[in-house]
Amino acid sequence: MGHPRVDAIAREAREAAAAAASSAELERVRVAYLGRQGLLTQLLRALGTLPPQERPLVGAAANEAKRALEALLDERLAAAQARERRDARARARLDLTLPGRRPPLGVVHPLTRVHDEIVAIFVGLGFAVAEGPEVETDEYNFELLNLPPDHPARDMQDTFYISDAALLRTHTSPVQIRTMKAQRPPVRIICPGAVYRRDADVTHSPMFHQVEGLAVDRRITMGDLKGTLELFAREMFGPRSRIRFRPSFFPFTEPSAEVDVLCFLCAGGGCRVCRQSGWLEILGSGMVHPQVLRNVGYDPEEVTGWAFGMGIERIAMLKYGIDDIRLFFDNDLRFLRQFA
Amino acid sequence: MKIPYGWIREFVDLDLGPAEAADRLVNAGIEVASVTPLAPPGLAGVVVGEIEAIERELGESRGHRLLLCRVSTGRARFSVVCGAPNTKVGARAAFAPPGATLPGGRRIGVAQVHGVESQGMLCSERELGLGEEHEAGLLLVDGAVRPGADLLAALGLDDQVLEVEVTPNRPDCLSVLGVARELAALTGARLTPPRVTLREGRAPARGLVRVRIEASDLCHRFTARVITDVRVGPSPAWLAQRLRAAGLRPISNVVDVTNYVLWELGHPLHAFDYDTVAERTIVVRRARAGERFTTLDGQERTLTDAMLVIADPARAIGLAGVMGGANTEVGDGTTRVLLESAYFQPASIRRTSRALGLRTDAAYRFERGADVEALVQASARAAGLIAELAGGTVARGVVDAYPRRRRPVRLRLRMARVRRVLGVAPTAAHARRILTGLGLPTRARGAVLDVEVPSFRRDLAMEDDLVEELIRVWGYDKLPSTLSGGATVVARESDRLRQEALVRRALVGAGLVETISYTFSDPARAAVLRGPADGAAVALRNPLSQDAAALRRSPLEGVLGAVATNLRRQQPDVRVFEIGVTFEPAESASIGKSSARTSTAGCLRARP
Repeated sequence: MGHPRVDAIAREAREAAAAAASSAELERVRVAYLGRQGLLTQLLRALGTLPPQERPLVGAAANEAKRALEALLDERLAAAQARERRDARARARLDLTLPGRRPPLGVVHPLTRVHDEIVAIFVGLGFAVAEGPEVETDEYNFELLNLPPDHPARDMQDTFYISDAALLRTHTSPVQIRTMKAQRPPVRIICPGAVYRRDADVTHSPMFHQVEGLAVDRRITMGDLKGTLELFAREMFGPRSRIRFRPSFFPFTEPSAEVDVLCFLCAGGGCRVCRQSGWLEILGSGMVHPQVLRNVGYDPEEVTGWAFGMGIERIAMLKYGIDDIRLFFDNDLRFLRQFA
Repeated sequence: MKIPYGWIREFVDLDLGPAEAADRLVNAGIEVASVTPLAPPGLAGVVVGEIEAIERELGESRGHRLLLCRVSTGRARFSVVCGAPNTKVGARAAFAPPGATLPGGRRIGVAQVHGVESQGMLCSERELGLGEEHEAGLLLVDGAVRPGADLLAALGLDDQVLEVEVTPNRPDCLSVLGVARELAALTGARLTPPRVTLREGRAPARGLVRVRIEASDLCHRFTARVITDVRVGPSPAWLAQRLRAAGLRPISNVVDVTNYVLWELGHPLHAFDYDTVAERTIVVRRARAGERFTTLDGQERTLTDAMLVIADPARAIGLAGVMGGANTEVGDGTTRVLLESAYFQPASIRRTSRALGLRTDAAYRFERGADVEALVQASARAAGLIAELAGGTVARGVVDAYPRRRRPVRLRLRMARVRRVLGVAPTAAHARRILTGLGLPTRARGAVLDVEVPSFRRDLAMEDDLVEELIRVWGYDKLPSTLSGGATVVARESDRLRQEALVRRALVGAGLVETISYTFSDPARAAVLRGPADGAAVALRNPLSQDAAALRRSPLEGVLGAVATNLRRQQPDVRVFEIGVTFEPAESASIGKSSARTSTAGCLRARP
């Protein structure tokens, strides 16, 4: 056992360890002998340069010395740390001026925030909340809404199917159908919820959220739709907000309108977000198609109605200046905590 | 759909610039995605130059003889080095004088070539970004164009292209004429449809072709014309240029004419090589189940008996309304053309085109609804153009099989209804003017209008459709702003939303961050969470990807995903929760419906 050069280093190391009084000094000893540039480490690394017959001898001795030193250092370190902790406690006094430990901040998801804001506005205007299943039938999602099979307008809503007849709803409009089938007019509801379309890029997400509104009664006009949405826009986007209607097409409304809100970033002057147009497209709307009213057992000569639908993500993106819809579903805490 | 503005102006006399016209269209419900110059970006200052003289030869470079030419632009003369094979005295070619820029912004100056000064550059089609042609040499223009003229103007490229996006209810606007008609209605300008000039020969078409419709439920009308003694070849420059401007690829004069008329009038046509059609007989029938057929794109396709084919007595020669067949394709050797102009039932075309994954310009229009009356006009227009551009004689008359005649559509519009729906109404006289302007013959009987709906407006089927037409043209800004009276009900949030809000408030108060995840589930990951009693999750038939192929059974899947994401991104302290819907296969698996409920999952603390 042993090798004169190794033994010398080992002895020296033991003495240094014994002399070290604090955990900091012990760490210095460890670095000096066992660190990357430590004496023992270097010795082991240089084994290859020794004559072959000496290698096993020196190697075994050095490894043995390394193990022994590690054990010694661990033992002394534990003792030193215990001593230091004891001393620290003894030194410590109760300091009443220290700040308390801050509890972590909880945050509501930005989509929930925008959802709650929209819902609160319409509840305030006398609209009840109606909800329905996310797995729907083709009949409720399409056919009763005047979208028969093989209609080209189905291209506007690429669909996830579960079976021939069951699908993930592509809008919350089937909730309107369910509500109208269950009650007589007047109807004043909003339908918030998740919807699904088979589409994924920076502005399209396969799952997103909508809020739809529906009012059906004896004397409801498209002017009422405009008045209601103007009120909504002022509540949502500020008192100076303005909207405009543009003709569009949806199979379940006639006439149909796309609604733009005056760009609240540039106040209509034109900027990057509104692509220099001064207006932001925020929702689709129109007068409920007479055939849809008939489909739920209403008489279009007796009642009329309006409906609208908007995407919560779209509104949130505009409101918070977010340009990638996928961020909402990525759930990165650094993103979410900004909405605290 | 790309439409050059200059083409629109051929049919309607407008005082508007392209951007203003686009605005009018957008405000009437025809989306215009962009208005862009036809010329490639960066190209400026290029003119027509006449090669007055070839002063001397400078030697060879990469197999081309370099010549020093004297180029005149009328007012000035330039010494230009050029190696193009078609360089010759008297030619008028594209010339970029010093100061001009080429696509990509390359500025032309005075350069030293083979030891001599070259003042500018004579250009090929490719160098100008106007096409692929380069080997043939310089882009030459017609000898009638005077030297110095702006090249883009000389080529008809000083135009803007409107990219029009038409909603599915307005197939009539899928054409230059349709958009022109809309603009005429919106501005009160006069509409001049293209004049059809057709000189017919003596031989009657009836003696040259027979048409038999065996599936009149799917093909309501089929017409055939025959043009004899045609010479197939490349299209003239103006036609090729028009097609390219519209985003189409020129092929040959006969085929290009059918595409030209498709763009111009909106009706899809098909040209067959007449001499490849057996027994001079067209049969419109359902395909046989399993029948194999090779379409023009060279793909062999297996058909079903729900699909409609154009056939001769021996075999299928076209996939009706979708694509022609390789076996009857018009080629260089074609001398007689059989021209089809037909109407197919929209849903059938849509099913066929989707089933085969074959989306064509023709199918796009037929599935939205073609104009069953105008197809005769489209056929005559195309036949006239073919005779004009490919020579030949148009046989007399058209063979017209029309088993399902369109019934005239007449609608009644009560002005009281207009006010009831909109909350405002124009006067009956004003309403009549608007509808007439749209091409709808209208008569007023006091406060009621009788409206005749022409065949191109198949979207107008009931009274409220006319209400929309009125307000669309009159202007949506005329809508009043009111709030509905009537009974008000007590409104409240749903119980479920209220409960959800309570849970959310408590968890946020406890320091957790709310997450929202896709309710799609990765079956591989979900397997980890699956209890022994759990059956299979609800699966999607057409998922976007395999890791989103099912619907989740617990929001824990979302929470775990959020935790993993954040730990991976070195977030020190992850505390999250999610309230979300989950899906269970329904007990009665009759239609694969599933039940859903809301649950909550959370992670109190996770550290890297």
